Amino acid sequence: MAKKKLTYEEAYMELEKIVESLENNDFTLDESVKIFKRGMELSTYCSEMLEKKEGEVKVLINGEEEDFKIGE
Amino acid sequence: MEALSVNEVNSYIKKLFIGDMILSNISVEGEISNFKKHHSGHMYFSLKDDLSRIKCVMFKGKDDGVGDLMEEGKNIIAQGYISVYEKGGDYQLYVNKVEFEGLGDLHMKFQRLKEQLALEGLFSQEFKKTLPRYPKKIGIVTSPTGAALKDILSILKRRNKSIDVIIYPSLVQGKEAASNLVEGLKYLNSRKDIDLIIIGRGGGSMEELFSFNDEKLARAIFKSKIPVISAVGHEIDFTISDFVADIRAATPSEAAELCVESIDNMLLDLDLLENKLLNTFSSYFESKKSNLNILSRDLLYNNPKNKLGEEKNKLYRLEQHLIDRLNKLILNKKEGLLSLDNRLKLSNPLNSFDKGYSIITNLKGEKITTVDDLIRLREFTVIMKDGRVGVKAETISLEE
Repeated sequence: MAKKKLTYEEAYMELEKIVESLENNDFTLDESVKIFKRGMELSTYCSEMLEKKEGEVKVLINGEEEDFKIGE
Repeated sequence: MEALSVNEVNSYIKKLFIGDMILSNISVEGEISNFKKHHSGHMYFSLKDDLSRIKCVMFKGKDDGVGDLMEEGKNIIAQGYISVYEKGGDYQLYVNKVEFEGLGDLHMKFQRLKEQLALEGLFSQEFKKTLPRYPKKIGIVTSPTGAALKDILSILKRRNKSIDVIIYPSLVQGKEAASNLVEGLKYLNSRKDIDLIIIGRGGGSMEELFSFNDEKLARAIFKSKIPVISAVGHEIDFTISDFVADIRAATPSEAAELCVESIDNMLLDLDLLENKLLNTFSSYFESKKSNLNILSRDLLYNNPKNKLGEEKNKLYRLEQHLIDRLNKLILNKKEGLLSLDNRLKLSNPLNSFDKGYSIITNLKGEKITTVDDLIRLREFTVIMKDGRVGVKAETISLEE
C-alpha cells in the first residue's frame, strides 16, 4: 500500500481526517468499515514510527558525513 | 635596457609610495591577524578582509595605550601611511592610530542594517514559514565544539531519539564566520532530506555575536527554502538573523525544544486519536444497530399475524354481539307472544263457560240473550263448557 512512503505527519493528518469524517457520519456501513480499517492501519503505522530506531547524528567533514560524538 | 640593482628598484618604489597622496595618509579597516608583540613593544600584524591582507607595523611610540587592546581577530580602523620597507622589499602600513570598532560603531551598523532590511521586508511575518510538526532530519549550523551544540543535541535526543541530525560545522565569530554560516545554509538547502535548520551559537559579547548581524547571512536565511530557527546567545541577545529567521529561539536549548515535539506527547496524541477512532466508530455502529432494532420492533409489531389475531377478535366479538342481539330479539318476541297468549286466553269466550255461563241458542243457532226472546221459545239449545243440550220446555215463565 502507498502508506509505506507516508511521512509521520502525512499519516497522522490522514488519521485525523478519518476520525473527523466518521464523526460526521457520512458513510454507508460498508464504507465506514473500510475507513475504520484504514484508520487503524494508519494508527499502527504511526506507533511503529515512534518506536523506531535511534536517529543518527552526523557531522559534515570535508564534504563527507561522519558520525559525530559529543566532545569531539 | 640597463639593469638596476635591487636596492635601486626598491628605492624607486618607495618614492612612488611616498609621493602618492592616498597612500601617504590613509585609514584602513580590517581584522587583526598574525598578531605579534615584540619585547620591544613594537607590534607586527596583518590586517585582513575576506579577500586579502596587508602587513602592518605599529611602533611602541604610537601605542597610546592601545597596545593592550590589540588582539587577534579584532576589527580595527588603522590610520597611518603605506610605505616600502626597502630592505625587505615589501610594503606595509605604518600605523599611527588605531580605532577599535567600538560598541558604538557596532550598534550603529546593527541599527542601520536592521532598518534597511526591515524596509525591504525581510523581517515581514508573511514570509515566515511554519515549522514542520514532525521533522525527520534536522540540520544544525554551528560550532562543533561549542556548548550550544551539546545542549541542542541532548535535548533533541531526550525528546525524540528517532530524529536524525546533520551538523554543518562553522565558525561562529570573527570575520570568516559569516561566510561559513552562509555556506552551511546553502549546503543544507541543496539537500532534499532536511526538514528544519537551526543556526546559532552560545552566549558572548556583542562583537563575538556580530557575525550573526551580517547582511549576506540575513539574505541567505531569507532565501532558505527550509525553515530556519535562529538561536544566538542568550535571552537578551537579538541579532539580525533572529529577525529574519522563521522563528527566533532565545537560546540554543529553546531551539531544540521548539523544533521537536516530545515523543511522549506524540505517543499521547496518537493514543488519544486512536481512542477517538475506536469510540467514534463504535458509537456509529451502535447507532446503526439501534436504528435497526427499532425498525425490527416496528416490523414485529405490525406483523400481519397480529392483525389477523386482532381481526379474529373483532370478528368474534361481533359474532357474540350478534348472537346476543338475536337472543334478545327472540326473548322479546317470546315475551310478546306470551303476553298475547295471555290476553288471548283472557278473552277466550270459552273462559265464561268455566265460570258456569252457558250460551242459549235457538234451533237456528242464533244466540238468545234476553228473557223475552227465551219465553217465546219451546225448544232451544244450551251450550255449556263440555257440550250442548237440547231442551224442550213444557213451561217457561218469567221470574220476578
